[in-house]
Amino acid sequence: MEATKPTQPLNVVEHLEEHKKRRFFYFLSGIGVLILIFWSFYYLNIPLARFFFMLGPIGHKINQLFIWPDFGYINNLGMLQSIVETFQMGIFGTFVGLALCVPLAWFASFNMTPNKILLYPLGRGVIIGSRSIYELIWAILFTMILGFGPLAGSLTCVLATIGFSGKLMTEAVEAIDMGPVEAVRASGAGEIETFFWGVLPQVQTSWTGIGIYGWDSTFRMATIMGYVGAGGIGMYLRETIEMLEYEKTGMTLLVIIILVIISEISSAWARNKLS
Amino acid sequence: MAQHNGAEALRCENVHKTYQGGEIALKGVSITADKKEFVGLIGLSGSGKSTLLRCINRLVEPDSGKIFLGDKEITSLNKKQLKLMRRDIGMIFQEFNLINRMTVLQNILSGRLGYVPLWRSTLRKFADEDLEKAVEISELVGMKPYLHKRADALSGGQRQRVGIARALIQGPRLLLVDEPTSSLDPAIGRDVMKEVRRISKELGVPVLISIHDVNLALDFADRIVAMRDGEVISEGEAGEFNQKRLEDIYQYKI
Repeated sequence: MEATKPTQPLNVVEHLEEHKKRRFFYFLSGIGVLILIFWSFYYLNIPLARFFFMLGPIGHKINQLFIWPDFGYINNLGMLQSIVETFQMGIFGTFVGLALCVPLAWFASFNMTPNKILLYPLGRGVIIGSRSIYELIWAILFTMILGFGPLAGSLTCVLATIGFSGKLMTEAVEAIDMGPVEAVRASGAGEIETFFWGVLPQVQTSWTGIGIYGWDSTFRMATIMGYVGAGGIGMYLRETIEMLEYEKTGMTLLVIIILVIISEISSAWARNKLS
Repeated sequence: MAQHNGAEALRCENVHKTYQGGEIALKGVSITADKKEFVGLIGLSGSGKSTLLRCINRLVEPDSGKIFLGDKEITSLNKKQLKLMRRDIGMIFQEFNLINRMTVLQNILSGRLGYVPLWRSTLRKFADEDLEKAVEISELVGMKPYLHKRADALSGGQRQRVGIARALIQGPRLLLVDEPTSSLDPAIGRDVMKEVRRISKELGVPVLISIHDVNLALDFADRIVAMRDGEVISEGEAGEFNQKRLEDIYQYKI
């Protein structure tokens, strides 16, 4: 009873030609990439030979930094406070940033945006804006406006979270099944109800995962904010480098690495717990 | 159960729709459905059945034409009026379109979204009478034992029953049904059709149903509207459709 039309007979010659066309296109793109690589090497004037001689000095530096870090350096109040401050900045940035991401991702998704003329460009603009300028530059701008300290760093962390998670969250919304959305709309629901009933249940798992990754990336950012004076442990990096106290720099780096490892372990644990 | 006087009839006049890619879906379709009537829309895929259904509750915006539900004209409604109108039109979908992560009860309650204030629906805080109604309707479609199961744990037939319940809790004056059986196996598809017809007769709600399977359409519909390439090509009582007429519609030897 099913009325199906007979399928078109395959035209072999046409298919072969299409295939050849594609292969030629791949070939050309490959050549293009090679040219690009050679060009960038040429332009940067990288003396390849130096790579080999670099191994010696690298070993020396690592020696200087890590073999005898100044372990006692951690034992001062400022350092300990700055570790706490780093966590505070990371936590503030992640949570405020993610809270802002929820409406922004909704506004910025082409399939679900409640208003194409105003809110869509707003959502896109904020997300692209916080992505397109590197976080350290935001930090510098904020310290210029708000002065040195953790406030500038915290705001930078908010933007870092929006830039990182906002885009991924938008993409998650754009990938939802529109069926439930249609059904919710058909029952007379408004835009906000449609978001809470048709969209949120579909994206909550992926959004949670993205949020956890967002924490990872934002916390890493928080550890170096201080380098430009925006609060947190990064300040000690700059201080010790400028004073040429590399043992202390080594200790600061060690602390940062340990902090990041702690954060990664806890977020891996959270991810496992959720899945 | 909500009040149904069944007096409203659906009337579409000269509805046109061209999709953005330039694909012409409807070329001036006019149909009517009388009160309590069960109208089957038949025709090949791409003949415009689904588009017509979606134009009636404006999930798809028609380009021109008029659509009346009772004495209300639908195409000229503004956003707010449209939302109110959609509460009166229940829709049942081919792929069920349930919210998978939610329970059967929550899915049925989502049919009340047009009635419930935003803060209440967001907190899932529905009125007792809505909950009672949801339970009552779940019994009507035989899903009461599964109220707290998640929708993605159900079989196809069960999902479609939840879809029916969700449309019914709106207290609709019209049911739009889009290929309800295509995702189901034949026996269960037949059960679902039986269910929709029984309920529509019981509650006095007119039904407009698009359906692939001609036999199902002939067995369950009061009247048949056949479409091809965005136009109505044949229309009449279900009994009037013989082999010859169907072969003309489908341009295919049955």
